[in-house]
Amino acid sequence: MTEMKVFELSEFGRAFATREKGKAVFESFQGMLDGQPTGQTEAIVDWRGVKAASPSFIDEFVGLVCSDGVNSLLGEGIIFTGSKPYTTELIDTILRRRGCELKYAPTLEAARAGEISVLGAVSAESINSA
Amino acid sequence: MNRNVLKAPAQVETVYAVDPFMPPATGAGRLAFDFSATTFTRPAGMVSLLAVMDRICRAGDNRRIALTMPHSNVVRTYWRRAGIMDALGEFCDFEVVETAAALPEYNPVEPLVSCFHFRNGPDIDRLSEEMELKFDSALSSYSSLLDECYEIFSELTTNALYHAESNGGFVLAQKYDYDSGPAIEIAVADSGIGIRNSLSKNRELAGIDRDSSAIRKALEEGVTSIGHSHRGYGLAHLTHNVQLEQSRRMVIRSGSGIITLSGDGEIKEENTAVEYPGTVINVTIPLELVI
Repeated sequence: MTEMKVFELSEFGRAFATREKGKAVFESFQGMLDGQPTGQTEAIVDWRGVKAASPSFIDEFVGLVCSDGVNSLLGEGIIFTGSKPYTTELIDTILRRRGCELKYAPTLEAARAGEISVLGAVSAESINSA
Repeated sequence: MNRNVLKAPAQVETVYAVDPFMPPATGAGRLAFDFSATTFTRPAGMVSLLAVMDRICRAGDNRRIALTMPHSNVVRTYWRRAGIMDALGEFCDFEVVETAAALPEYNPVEPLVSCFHFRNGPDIDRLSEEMELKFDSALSSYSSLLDECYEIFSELTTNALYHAESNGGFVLAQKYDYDSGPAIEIAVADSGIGIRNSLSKNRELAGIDRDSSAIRKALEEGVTSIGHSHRGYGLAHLTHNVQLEQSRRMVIRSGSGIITLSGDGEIKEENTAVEYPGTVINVTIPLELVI
């Protein structure tokens, strides 16, 4: 049976600016996953309560979340949820620039219900506009 | 005339402000900055000056700095309130020369984010959080601009920290109430290697021979000294945001180059005779009331 772990970014502050903070927050995220059995854990990264996040923070954090080690543990089991529209747009753009995709749900309830979309997906429209 | 006394102009407002009294980069002995005639200062002028002073103090020539305070009590009080004197004292032993009799202090505006010499990531995270909290309290009517102002603030400071090789930089943000409406000015300056030297670490960009061309190049998405394809997004996104509204403005000065970016899409490129020792960026964002 798959276990669902929720990682609340708001525990680390209301606003996130630097790559150092991105790395530090990721290390806590990684700590939450320590000891979890491979392929049997889903992680929800809950952005509720995050008032602002810079492109540098997002690039560092999502870059590490997309890294090989986390992916091999969780497979496709990472879901971002609850980010503000401006932040969601930044995450989407940064994921596309990195060639990485992550699941997204607007709310925690939607994530639990499996109502998800994909951030970072390269659409035909974005290919044509590149 | 004592050539070691540098007289500041009446208005120390813009990225050009330090040119008339730019001190020699090296030397020894006492260097006096005379602000007695200064009646108005703004973030870009003040952080530009602090970065120049920082360069002097880091040059290691055992220079001592003397600061003649403005006659204007408005400016004096603002400097204290905005943390200018604290920021200066934090990196340099300086002597204050008082010229005016003590008068009742005028009550000038509060800074949005006080002047600060940031040196590391935690400094920037703390200052950025201070800005976010202002949008949650004093600027709550303009909360729709939080994301963009936060991004300007955090990206400019992190660029200075990670790329300038100057042990950080200086920041000051201020809200002004103009007749045309309120606006925020955010200024960040460092006394580092400059944008052209930073980009030249990327071999593909090493051939840029003018500072203004390097600044212009740095505004493009994907351009970075690091050379990773996913980096070089922050400044490009700021450029995009500035161009979203006609009355927004960003001025970048680095070395002898100056680029002025207007919201109407116009990009003005200049090369100056006076070389600025580092990089200073000033962004002006008019505030629109959200009803």
